[in-house]
This record gives sequence, structure tokens and C-alpha cells, in this order.
Amino acid sequence: MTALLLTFKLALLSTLILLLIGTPIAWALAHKQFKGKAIVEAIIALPLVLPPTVLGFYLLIALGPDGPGGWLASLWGENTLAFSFSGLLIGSVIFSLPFVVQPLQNGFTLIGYRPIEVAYTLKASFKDAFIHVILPLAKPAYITAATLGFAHTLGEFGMVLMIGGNIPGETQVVSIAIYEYVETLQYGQAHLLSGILLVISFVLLTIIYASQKSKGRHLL
Amino acid sequence: MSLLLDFTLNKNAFQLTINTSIDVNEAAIHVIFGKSGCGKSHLLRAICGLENITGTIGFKQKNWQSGQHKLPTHLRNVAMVFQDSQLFSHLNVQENLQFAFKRSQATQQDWQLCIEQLQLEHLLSQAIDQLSGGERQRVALARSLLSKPDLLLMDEPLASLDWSSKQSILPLIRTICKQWQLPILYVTHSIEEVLMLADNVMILEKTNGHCQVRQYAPLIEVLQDAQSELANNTNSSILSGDAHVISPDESLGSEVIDNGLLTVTLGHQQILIPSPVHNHLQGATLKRPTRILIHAQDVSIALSHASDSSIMNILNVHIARIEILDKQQALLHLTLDGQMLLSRISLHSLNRLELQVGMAVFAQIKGVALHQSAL
Repeated sequence: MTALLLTFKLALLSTLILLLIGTPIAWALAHKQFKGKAIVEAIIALPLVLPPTVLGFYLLIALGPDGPGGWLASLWGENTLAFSFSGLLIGSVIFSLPFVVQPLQNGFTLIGYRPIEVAYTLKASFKDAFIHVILPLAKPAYITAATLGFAHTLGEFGMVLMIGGNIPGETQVVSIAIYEYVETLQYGQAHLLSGILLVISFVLLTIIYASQKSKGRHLL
Repeated sequence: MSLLLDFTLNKNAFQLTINTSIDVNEAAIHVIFGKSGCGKSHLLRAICGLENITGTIGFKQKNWQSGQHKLPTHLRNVAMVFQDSQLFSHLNVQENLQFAFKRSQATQQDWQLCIEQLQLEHLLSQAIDQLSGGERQRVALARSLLSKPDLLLMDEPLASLDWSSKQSILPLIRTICKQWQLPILYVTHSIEEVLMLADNVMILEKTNGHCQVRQYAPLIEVLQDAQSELANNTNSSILSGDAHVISPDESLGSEVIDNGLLTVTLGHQQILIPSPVHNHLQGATLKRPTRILIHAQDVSIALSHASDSSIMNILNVHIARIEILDKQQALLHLTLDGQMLLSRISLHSLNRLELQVGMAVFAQIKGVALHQSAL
């Protein structure tokens, strides 16, 4: 049960952070023209194609004592972010970034730039227009992005294994716990956790498809 | 006090250069006219700050744009009505109006006036996707008015509407301009809209990918200018006079009128217009200045006053000029108490009636062909 709670905490926090940083990135990709746009898009999409172990390996080095993560950790007296919950959170955010940015980007593209221009001509500033026009219009995109980001974080394994290890209560998420139960032949426990994960993932995906059907939009 | 425009806008293979000033002190309608692709919409977008330009834009005493300085759109106090209404689909009609109302200086009286004038009371609780095209544009216009702008930009607001929706909005635009004391820049490629709405006309023209102002002058001057493209393509005349609504039970001469009629007095003569088209004038007992549009092909000529005709309006006119259009048709320029009326007839009729310059004849106008809007 500790593993389950930890997984939810991780997925929830990752999703929140992802929505916050994913919004400006998706907006810029949808509506701004800038140099190196293709490169930014490629970097964001990398986690889709790379084996999680490759990503995990680089993250391990980056978060370790000699990387930027180590420097960051030294600010509060630690010497590494690897094998810690914070490290795992950073890894999750990077790992699930495309699953949040892409639906948001598609949503913003679908809405177009016109509504925000119209809001400008009605005396709304960018912030005002974004909050009162774009956010409500992009609600389906946000539901998709949040659900996908959450679900994808629930399912990660390879990267967690690389940078988080298997510390109960700190980095041992459900997927790792299941692996360990199987290794130690505790099939009953493995069944229970696997079943829970299966049901949750199924429910989340059903939510996405149902919300898209009702609006006639396809962001996935 | 004016809107000073002195800028260049570059976009793809297209350049728009504007160097002109528009008087915005008076509530007048400046119609920007030109073929599609000649930069009309870009001009409006530049004025409200939605396009990147090089040059300056000044409004009254305020500097909207010059050099690196660019006042953001939301601080310019300018509203825009788009061709496709662009109402916010996540809000209903009332909420769309409130979006503008909350962010402006508009008062409760403005709200009331706006709802009445554009007949929106019964639409307030409706969702946007339930509205017809004409209703959407009325809501969009109301929303712009409720943001209490110093200047209203309208980008082909009637272009995508059917004839009857157009007729329900077109006559309102001049009334709104005067009543709200609001200068309007109105973009269109419809000659009819120019004639019905314009105080001044700005003609934009594109040559070799370069767009600029070809002419900017009062409508009357543009129409009198024989070189003007507008005057040459016009097959309609505009007459101005005083409108007066005759209520259904009022009698006209010896005839009793079943339905309401609008009379427009032009000097010593009158033109009658059936009233369903101009609901907004109902109940207006005072005479008000009005502009009517008459298509040249709806005006025929008779040598005697026909009393047994279905034609409602028969006016005494003089032939001022006869213009032969082609092998079949002629355009007659008729004077009517100092105003000009155009009539297109066949060469056959011209010869049969032996029409000549200076002759006094009767111009027969089909009543239904009249359009009117507040002067």
C-alpha cells in the first residue's frame, strides 16, 4: 500500500508540474514562430521514442553528485538527487512531458489565435484573455493532457529503476513493487497491485475517450 | 482630432502603404472599399494593433505606435466586429455581452439601449451555436458597442449573411453611429453597402502586390468623379430625404393603407416604402433624415402618369444625361429636385419614346426596390 500511495503522490505532483510548465511551451509551439522550433519539438518528443533506460541513464548522471542535480541537492546539504523522491519527480516530469504538451498544443492550435485577438479588442490583457477565454475553450485538451500525464507516470518502470532504485516509501513505486513481488514469487501481492493499476488505467483512458466523443474533438 | 496613419505593412508577397488621416471627431462612417486581397482587413488589423507595422499610428492626442513603441490592443479603446462574428463559444449571448461590459465604462443605460436597438432581449440566454448568422452579427455588434470604444472597426460584417439578415442590420449601422456618437471604419467590397453607409469613402487599390489608398473623399465627391471606379461600377443611386412613418390606420389621400408605410420626402415629392423592412423606425413620429438606395434597373420611364399601374412611386424628373452603355442598354441620369436618379432602359425604349436630354418625364420606381438607412 505504501507503494500505491507513493505512486499516486508522484503522479499527482508530476501532473500538476507538467500542466504548469506544459502550458507556456504548448502555447508557444502552437502560436509562435521562433528559430529552432523544430529542435524544441524534437527534444520534447524524445521520451516517446527513447528506451526509458537511456533516459534514466542520462538522468542518473545529471542528478548524481557530479551533475546539476548534485549541485542543487548540495543547497540543502545532500550530495545527490538520484535515489530520492525529488529526483524521481524530476525524471517523471521529463519522461511524461510529451504526453501533456502534445494534447495541449493540439488544443491551442484547434482554438486558433483569433479568440485571443477578439478578447484584446474587448479590452482584455493577455493574462485576462488567457484565463477567461483560452482556458475554458481548452478544457477538453486539459482533461486529456492531465489524464495522459497522470496515467503515463503511473506506468513508468525502466526510468524509475535507473534513477530511483527500490527504496520503500521513498522511491518504490507500484511498477517496481510488482517486479519485486514477482521476483520473490509473491504472486498474490503482484496480482493485487497489477489489478489495481489495470483498472485505474482503464478508467482514465475511458474518461479521455468519453470526453472527446462528447465534444466531437480528437486530441489524442 | 484625427486618426493619423503613416505606415507600411509587409506580409509575404504583399505590401500595404498608408499615409492618410481620418477625421474621428465626428460620428461618421468611413467606408474602406476595394477588391478582395487589397489590404482592407490588414488596414483594420494594423489600426487595432494586431499586425506588425513600421511607421506611426496616432489617435487624437495619443500615440498608438511609433518606432519601438507599440500600445497593446487592449489599451487602445478600439473595438472590432469581425466578418465571422467571433463570439466566444463557451459563453452564452448574455455572457458574451458581459465580457465586454465588465471591462468597459459602459453604463446600465448603454446596456438597455444596446439590447433594445439590436433586439437581443429574447436571445440573451441562448447558446452561441443556436443563433442564426444575422443574430450572431447583431450580438457581435452589441458586444463591441458595450466595450464603449472611441473607434469602431467593422470588417465586412455583412459579407457572409443572406439578403434578409443583411437588411435587418444594414439600416441600423448609421443609426448606431449617430446615436452612440461613434466614428466607424467599415470595410466592404459591396457597392451597395458603400452607398448605404458611407459619409466618406477610402478606395484601396493593389498594383503589383503593392496596396495603397487610391482615393479618400466624401461619398458625393467619389460618385461625381467620372474617373472613379466606384462611380463607374455603380448601377444604383442614393437619394436623401426625410422619413416619416405612416401608421397602418392612417390614410393616405383617398386610399387606406393596410400595412405600415414609410414615406420619404424628397423636396416636393414623396417616395413610399412598405415598412416590414424597417421595424426600427416604427413608432418614430418625427421626421428623420434618411438615405435610400434605388437600383438603376428598377427605374423605368413613362411619358405620362400611369394611374392604373402596380408601380407605387411615380416621380417627376428631367433627363440630364443619356449614356449609351452597350448595344442594348442606356443609362439615364435624371434630376429630381436637385438630386440624381439613375435609370437603366433598353435602347429600344429610348428610341421608341424619343427620349432626349432636357425632357420632363415620369420615373416609375418599384417600391420594393428601395432601401433606407438613417442619414
